[in-house]
Amino acid sequence: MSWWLTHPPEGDLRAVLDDELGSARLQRHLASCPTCRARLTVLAETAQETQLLLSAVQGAVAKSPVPTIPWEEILPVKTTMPRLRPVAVGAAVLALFTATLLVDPMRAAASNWLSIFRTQKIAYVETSPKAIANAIEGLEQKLSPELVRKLAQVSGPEELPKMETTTPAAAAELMGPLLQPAIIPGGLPAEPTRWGARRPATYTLRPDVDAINNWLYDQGIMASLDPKLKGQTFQVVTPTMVARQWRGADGRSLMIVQATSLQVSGTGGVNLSELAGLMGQLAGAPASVIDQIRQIPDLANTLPLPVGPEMGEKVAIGQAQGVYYPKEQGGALVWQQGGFTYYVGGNLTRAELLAVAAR
Amino acid sequence: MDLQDLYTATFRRALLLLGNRHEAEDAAQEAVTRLLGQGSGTVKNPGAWLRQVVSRLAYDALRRGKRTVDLPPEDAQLTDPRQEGPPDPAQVMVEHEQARLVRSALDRLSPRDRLTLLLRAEGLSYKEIAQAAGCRPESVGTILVRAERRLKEQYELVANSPARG
Repeated sequence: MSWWLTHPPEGDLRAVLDDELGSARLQRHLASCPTCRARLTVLAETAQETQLLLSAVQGAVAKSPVPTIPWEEILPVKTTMPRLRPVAVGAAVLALFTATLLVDPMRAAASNWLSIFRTQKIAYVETSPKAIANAIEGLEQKLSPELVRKLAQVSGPEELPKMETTTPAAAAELMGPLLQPAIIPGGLPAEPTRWGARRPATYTLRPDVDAINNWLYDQGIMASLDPKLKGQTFQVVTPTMVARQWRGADGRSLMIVQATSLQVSGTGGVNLSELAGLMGQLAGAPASVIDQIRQIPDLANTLPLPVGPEMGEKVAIGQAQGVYYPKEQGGALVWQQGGFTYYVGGNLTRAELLAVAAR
Repeated sequence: MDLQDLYTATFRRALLLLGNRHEAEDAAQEAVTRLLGQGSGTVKNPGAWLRQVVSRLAYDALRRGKRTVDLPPEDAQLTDPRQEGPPDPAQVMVEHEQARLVRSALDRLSPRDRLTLLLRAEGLSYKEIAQAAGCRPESVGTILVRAERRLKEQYELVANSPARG
């Protein structure tokens, strides 16, 4: 149900026709609004016409002959096929992992930057904005903090730490040496106008393997956790982040974010490649993306970053590989070096951002 | 329910979504193979499990986009083989032509529009459709409205074109 001010959107009205939505507010509105009743009639007519058209195809399919499969010949072969059996560390870790793999890095840097284990380098994954948007939508729909707590015993802070305003001295104490911008583009103040920091949080997880496997089954995901994970405990430390923002009088801005890696301990024997495959399926990522992630040789130490047409462009930042992401106004650079992940973005030109990041 | 019955339902779902017998056979066989790979007793409701999995496989195939359109998609034999007496040839032709036109119109829609329309026509709930299409249940109504309009437009184009699709 969407929020609306004057008239409900068509999608909500269409759902009323299928008995899928019927909030008291919508029903009251329909009772008093002749315009929306007329809209509903038009939608109902189109829905009926559609059903009539599709019934022709449904009828044809129902009458279509079905091949007979010689199951006796196939069965012995099929049952010996290797079963996909990802080893994983509980839904919370899964969620964090996928966030790293598939979440738009700009969005992640701004709010919820997460990486896995101790990443030291990046790998390029060819994908598209649409695939990423689909994956985010798929995950947001499937994984909620409440669900994670149902599938694993989690102890730690109730909410993930937030980015909070801080002082330069406190930021330096938290992070150690900070990335120094090579230049400050014209129109921006010499010193940051705002400092932010996100403190690390430690979580202990004990996955309920049976509950997770049941849940995966309910989602139609053809994979399950290894039963030997039953009773194991894992510790997760969320990344520490420091953000600095420069804001000029003419609306130009620069943001530099520096983050440590997510640390996961107690995960001996985890097959990251299989885990990545499971996570990709969970998010509904295209097979080509899943394959690329699974083929990254040193996944535990690698942060996969999306590139591709309309997505990101491979760039070199000193000795490091990075990605440039254009935005509506300006853009952002992301790269990894010396155990830190860096984000340099703002409504500046590509050349200006590269000059800021130059090593 | 034996394996062939499960396969029949799975194949029909795949054929409906894909409109191509070869692709439908591949998807149905893949789904059943995955079911068998799950080990006995792991899957509680194999019928429901297969329908969900094959919908997803069909959607993936549609999105890969390497589609070979084989028309007539559902095989030439459109009358019910179980019906008594010989089929009325005129009736067969009308049914066949209508199915072909609708299929041509569906082929011109995006994979998501097509999946949403067909799964809804099969009576699936918005939640189930959302699961197969990888979207939020709240978005299904909006997708349906647009897809229904597009289908109507495409059907009219196909039905009124000189080459008839």
